[in-house]
Amino acid sequence: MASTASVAKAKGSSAVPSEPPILLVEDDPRLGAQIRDSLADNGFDVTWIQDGAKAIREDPDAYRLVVLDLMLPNKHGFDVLKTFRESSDVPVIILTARTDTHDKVRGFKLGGDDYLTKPFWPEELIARVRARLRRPTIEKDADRTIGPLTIDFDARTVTNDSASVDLTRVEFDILAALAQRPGVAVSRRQLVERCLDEEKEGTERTLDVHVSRIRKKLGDASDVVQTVWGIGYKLSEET
Amino acid sequence: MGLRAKVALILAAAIIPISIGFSAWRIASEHREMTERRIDRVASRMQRLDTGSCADLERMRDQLDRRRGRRARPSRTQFRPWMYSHQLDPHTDAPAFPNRLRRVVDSEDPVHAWSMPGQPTLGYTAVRLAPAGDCAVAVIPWSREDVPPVALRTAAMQTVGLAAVLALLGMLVAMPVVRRIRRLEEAVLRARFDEFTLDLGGDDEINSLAAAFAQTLDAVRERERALEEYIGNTTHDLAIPVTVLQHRLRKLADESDSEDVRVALEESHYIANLIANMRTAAKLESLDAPELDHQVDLSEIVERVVQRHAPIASQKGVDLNFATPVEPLRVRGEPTLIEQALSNLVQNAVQYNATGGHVSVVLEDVADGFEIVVADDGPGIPQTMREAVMARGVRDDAARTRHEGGQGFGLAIVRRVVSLHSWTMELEHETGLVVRLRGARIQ
Repeated sequence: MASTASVAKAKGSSAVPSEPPILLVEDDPRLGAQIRDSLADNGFDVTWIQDGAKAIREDPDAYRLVVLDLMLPNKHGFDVLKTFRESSDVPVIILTARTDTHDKVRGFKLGGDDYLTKPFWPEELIARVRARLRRPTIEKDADRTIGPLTIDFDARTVTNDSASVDLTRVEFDILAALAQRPGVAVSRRQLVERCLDEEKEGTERTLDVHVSRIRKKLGDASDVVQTVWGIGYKLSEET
Repeated sequence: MGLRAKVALILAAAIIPISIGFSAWRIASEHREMTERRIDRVASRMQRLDTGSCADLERMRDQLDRRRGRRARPSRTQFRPWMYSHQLDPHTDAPAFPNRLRRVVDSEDPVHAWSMPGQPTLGYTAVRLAPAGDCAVAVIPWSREDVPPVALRTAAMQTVGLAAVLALLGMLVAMPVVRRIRRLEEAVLRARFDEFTLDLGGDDEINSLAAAFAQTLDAVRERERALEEYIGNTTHDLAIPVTVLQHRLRKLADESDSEDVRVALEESHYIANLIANMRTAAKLESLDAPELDHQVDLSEIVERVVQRHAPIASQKGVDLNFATPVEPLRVRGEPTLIEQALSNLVQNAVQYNATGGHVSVVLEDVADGFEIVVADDGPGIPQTMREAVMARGVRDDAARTRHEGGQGFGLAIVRRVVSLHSWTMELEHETGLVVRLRGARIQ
């Protein structure tokens, strides 16, 4: 197990050499090792501490993120969080084994950014870690690349493999709405409300017509705009 | 019947026999007094003759008889005295002198015997007429029946009056008791959810009853808490190994595409959801009402729930997608309950779907509220089970089946959470199942 972790760790640090590690505070040896491995497998450097009293002495700013169990020996997870929050804004993901609102609410009041209830899949943890690390930069994006497409929100232009795509105002709005969160669907109703002039053409049928025109204009990249069953559309590189 | 009416009725009912007994005693004693007065009158008249001579007495008796005869009293013969000598020897037809009256020899006053053996209604009065002579002592036999009874009607009226007064008094007396019992009732009702620190004040029985209630409820609460604690600890202890298991299986699944691993993954996911449901059920059944006034971001919950089931959906080849509005959509509620309710809907939709199937979770901002639609194109709920699925309780055995369409346990929790938050739930059976939740949002 330890060897797997170190190999993964090496892989992680080579991918992002300058990034500080993630601090994992989890007392259970099996689960701790498992989480450390999962994080390491996904390219994150991990420092694992099993004891609350020891964790509380760490400098939170030496880490890019903290994964914090609540039921710790010697010091409760909340105490650790409270101490960290006195000096730091490091993102914290709380691991709880009780579906207790008080736990969660107390966690948020202390500035804990997120929580995860055990049992959970490694994918859930990785997704939340990624979301925490990504969040501060998401607003700044002026353009986005999805597959061969580059969407410039400010200039309102779309290029397909550096060739400009000529879209109408509504068509660009639809594509931009979908591009805000690639891979996540947007419902037909939302798209109609946000992109169509409701007075004139505000029906889901009209929306579908617009989308088929967008696809036609995208040519070989038309697969990027995907129909999502029961919802609407999304942009995705995976086809 | 209220307590006040009962107390009044009991008092009124109790007073009737008491009053009857009292009246009977009064009637009897008055009757006795009247009898005594009459006998005394006869006796003193005889005494006034101041003679021991039998001839004088015969004369007097005849006079008496004549007077009585005119009045035609049926029992006049009873007042014919028997005569005895100063040594108590009977004169002419008189019977032997009654022993009980012997002390008349030394008495100036008449001596009464209120009854004789075998003759309860008969009495005798002995009177000394003269110091000596053949007829020095007279015994007057008499009957109680000779004396008219005291008016019964008066006694009956008194009884009824007394009963009425007591009934009224009973109502007045019961009033403070009833008031205190009402207070106790209110306090006990309040105490169902609040901490039961019940003190009505004062040191009467009602307050000690309240204390007894408090004690019992405390004991029940303590047991409930112990049970909650146990469930909490058990789910906590289960959660860790199941998480380890999930992570190991995930790793294994990445390395091989064996059917065994795939099934094990799905089973571990099922167990994980059971643990979450156990926690949720414990919370729903808890004595402490869940706090429903947290601000909950539904977009965040939808995303979280979909993330939770995404690994299994992709494992099964089920296309699981969600959509939320751009702006956060907040409602008042209990986040863990809402999360688990939604998780159950998604779990069911994924679990019963086949490879190539679709599941969608859409959160929409609708007029002054929200709408969550969980739709799938799986087999849906069989026609025969549709009503049952909506009617089942969490504890229902049938709700626990996890066979095809056995959505019971999870759906029961959804229903409880929905009603707790005053939301609505609709099931539409089109292609597969569409579950629509609606409720109010924070404006």
